[in-house]
Amino acid sequence: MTRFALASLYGPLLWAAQFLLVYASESLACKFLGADAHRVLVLTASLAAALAVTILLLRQWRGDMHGTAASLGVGLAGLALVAIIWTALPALILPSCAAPT
Amino acid sequence: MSQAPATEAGAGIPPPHYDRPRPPQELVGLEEVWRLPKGWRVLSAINNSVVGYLYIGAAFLFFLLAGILGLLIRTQLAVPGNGFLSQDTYNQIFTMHGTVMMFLFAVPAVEALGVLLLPQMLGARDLPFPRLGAFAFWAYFVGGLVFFATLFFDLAPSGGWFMYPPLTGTAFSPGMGADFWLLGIGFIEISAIAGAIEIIVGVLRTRAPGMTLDRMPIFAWTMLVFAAMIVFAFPAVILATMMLEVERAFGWPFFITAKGGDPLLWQHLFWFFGHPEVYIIFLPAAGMVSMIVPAMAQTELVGHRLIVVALIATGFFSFGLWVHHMFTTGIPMVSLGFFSAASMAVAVPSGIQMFAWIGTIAAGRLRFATPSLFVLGFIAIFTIGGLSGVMVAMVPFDWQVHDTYFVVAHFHYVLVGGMVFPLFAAFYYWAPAFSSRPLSERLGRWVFVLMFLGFNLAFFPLHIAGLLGMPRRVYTYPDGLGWEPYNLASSAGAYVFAAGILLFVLDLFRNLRPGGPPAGNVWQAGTLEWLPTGNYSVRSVPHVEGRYPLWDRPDLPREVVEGAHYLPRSATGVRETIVTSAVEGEAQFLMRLPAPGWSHVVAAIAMAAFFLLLVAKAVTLALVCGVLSIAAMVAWMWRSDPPDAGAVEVAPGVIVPTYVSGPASPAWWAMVVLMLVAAALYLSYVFSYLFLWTVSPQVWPPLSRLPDAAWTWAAFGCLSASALALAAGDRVLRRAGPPILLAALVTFGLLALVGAIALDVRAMSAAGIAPTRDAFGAVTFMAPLLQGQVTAAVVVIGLFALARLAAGRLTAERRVVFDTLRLLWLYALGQGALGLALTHGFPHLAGAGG
Repeated sequence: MTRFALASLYGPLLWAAQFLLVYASESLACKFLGADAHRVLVLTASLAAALAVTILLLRQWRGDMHGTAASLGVGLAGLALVAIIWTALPALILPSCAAPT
Repeated sequence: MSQAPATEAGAGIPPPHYDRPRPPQELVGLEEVWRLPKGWRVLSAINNSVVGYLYIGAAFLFFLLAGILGLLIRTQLAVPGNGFLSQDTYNQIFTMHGTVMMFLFAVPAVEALGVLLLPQMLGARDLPFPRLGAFAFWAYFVGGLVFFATLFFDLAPSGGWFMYPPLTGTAFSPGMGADFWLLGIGFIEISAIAGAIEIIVGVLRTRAPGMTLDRMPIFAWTMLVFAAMIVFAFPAVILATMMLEVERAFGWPFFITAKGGDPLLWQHLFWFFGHPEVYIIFLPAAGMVSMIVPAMAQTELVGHRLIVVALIATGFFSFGLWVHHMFTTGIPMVSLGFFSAASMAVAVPSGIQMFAWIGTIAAGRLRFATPSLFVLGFIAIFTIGGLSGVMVAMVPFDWQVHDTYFVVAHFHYVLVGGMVFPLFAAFYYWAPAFSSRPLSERLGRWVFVLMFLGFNLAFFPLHIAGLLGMPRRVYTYPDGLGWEPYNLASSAGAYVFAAGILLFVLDLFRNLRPGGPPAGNVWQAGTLEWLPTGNYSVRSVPHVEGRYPLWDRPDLPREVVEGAHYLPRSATGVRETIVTSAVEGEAQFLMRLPAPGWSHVVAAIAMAAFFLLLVAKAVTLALVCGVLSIAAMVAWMWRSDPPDAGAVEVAPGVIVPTYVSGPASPAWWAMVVLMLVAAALYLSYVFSYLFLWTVSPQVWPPLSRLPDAAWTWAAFGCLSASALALAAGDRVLRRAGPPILLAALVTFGLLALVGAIALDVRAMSAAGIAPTRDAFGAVTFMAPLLQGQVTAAVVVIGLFALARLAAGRLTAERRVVFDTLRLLWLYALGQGALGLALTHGFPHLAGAGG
């Protein structure tokens, strides 16, 4: 039962993983690989995270899981999806590896 | 449900329940075991009702003290060129105002409300570790008072509440002020963590039978998220304070640029704590609002589950915001974008809560009593603060207003609106649950009007002063910049606000009467904290079947008082509370609780003295106090873990054990939470190591100057030997093998654990690496320092376990002490291995790559 309760946290955990990866990778990717590599990394990671959360959302929505944990999971996965897409947007709009001007 | 319903009023009590009347000696027995110490000895009490009361009183005292500092600030700034305070005094005062409000008022105040309210709200007799809670209170109170008193001796810190180096390094802050901040606040954070562990285990394991997570009141949810956030956020700033203090005391250059350090590391670590801190303060306040609104509107909370979703989401997102305090530090643009996006995303869950409260008010009929007024004031002020928050989440706008009074206005709207107004709503709302007289409605309205008008007059004009360019932290400003009217209005507003607080204090003196039978459920609320209570909390613990048990069963208070429900007596003759499963709330175990005593008070005061004497460089005396503190803790823990008293009945047909070990035991849960704290601290360290490397790879040595691998493998060998000894010891204990063999294995294992640290330090020193030479040396030697800290804890608990083994108090069945030791030991092994891999392995990668 505790395992199921924890499962409702997968959505925000995926967001946290994506966020950590895209942020922490900037200084390293810019140092060793260049701006394009960072942009590719951010978009790939974000797409993967968004896909994973969508699958999670659908599974919980369809009722593969039950009860409180599932309904919390749906809400949390939905909010996480919004946050994942939102987090990815700067990489589409702004140049990577550039200092603010 | 639209009105408080009177359905099923005549229905019988669902099983399991006891027949009434109950034998009178049951109540006598309950009162006897829960009796409070008399007179001044009440200070040795550990009942949550007493500790919670003292805790709130102390937090409110610090609110008044820091509020007076705020008034001094506004007096100084009322007119241009004012000579009321000198620059240095002003710097100390604004630093202490922020520090005391954040660390000594806001977090302790909500933790205090948790201690006071949670057990009653969850249907527990007390929190699971009452002495730990009392210890946390005393540590905070004594440490906080001494810390505040530094102001009177011109010894207070003056580097701002976020203590940025290099300003707070020895070069620019040579006095003791910064050390008082670092050691004093670091120590008080330890007390906050102790409280958080207590709250997590309390919320998850001591709910009334039947109270599933879904039926748990929102305030308990917010306290759970609050405590979990403390577990992950506070370690970052504890590490930062340790590093800055070690830099100041011993010259390890973590933040000194010339030696490869970086002051930005402090900002990252500080704000990784500091931003979640805002939500750590706000979420419990939101939880109070979620309790007050349904009661005042006499209808169930709209969107209960959505609010839970919003709370958890806020808890997560708030960890992705810290860089928005650092938008002007030259971080790459895309990274700023990530944090800007997350800062806007966090507004979504806050919006969900806001609409849920408005929806609840719309669905019911709001009673316009004082708590409702404060809730409405909160909604108005916090919304303005939230909107100016979205403004400063925009990077270009933030560049304009960074370090101006716009930001000051913004965060006062968020913090006063988001925390102080709900807290006052809570004072007026919950006073009748603890005082024989409610607070005055007539005075309360005046308190609200003065506070609301005063606050807006004090802080709204500061937005404009900030937009006009007035910088923060200036002790005065010249005439003719156009800032004068806003500052004068703001200062006037501050005094109006203070008049409201003064009136509230008057109301407290006139009407607050703790100790007697409480005034009771004057708001017709639906949750368990409104059940009639005695010093034993509730007479019997009801089986919970909904989110508003008092609305579902109007007869419940009478049934509870008559002893019809769970545990209408002390089953084992000592204090006890029912432990339930974390998710479903099924009764699992009867936990026996400790009795009042002085050892935790001695431990807390001695520990505060240890830290504060260190600042004064009275090392010998500090060590004496440190040893005294540990001795008091050992004395306190010696009577813990009582032997099995057999299975007992807590309700007809419900028989539970009185002794459990392993994952069923609350001690196991507490140790797991403590391991999470330690892991969060260590991950902050790993981040610091890698961060300094990205900033200053030039101070990382070439391959030829790295330590000899033989030492590294020897250290790993020590860790492995220690692990084997632990595993063998566990086996011996489980099979009830010879105690002498167990003692030998534990002793050998502990020695090996210490040996690994010695080998690590030896290896580094032999390679000519020194902690004072550069940032690489400093951050490398931080690993054995942190490992030493955990190892010291393992050794103390290990020796304790050996003593209990010798006394026959540690056996194959009675093994909670060993389980606890084993968990922390395993953690120490993992941390040690990770540290060796990082500090011995990573330089090879770095050296080969760069």
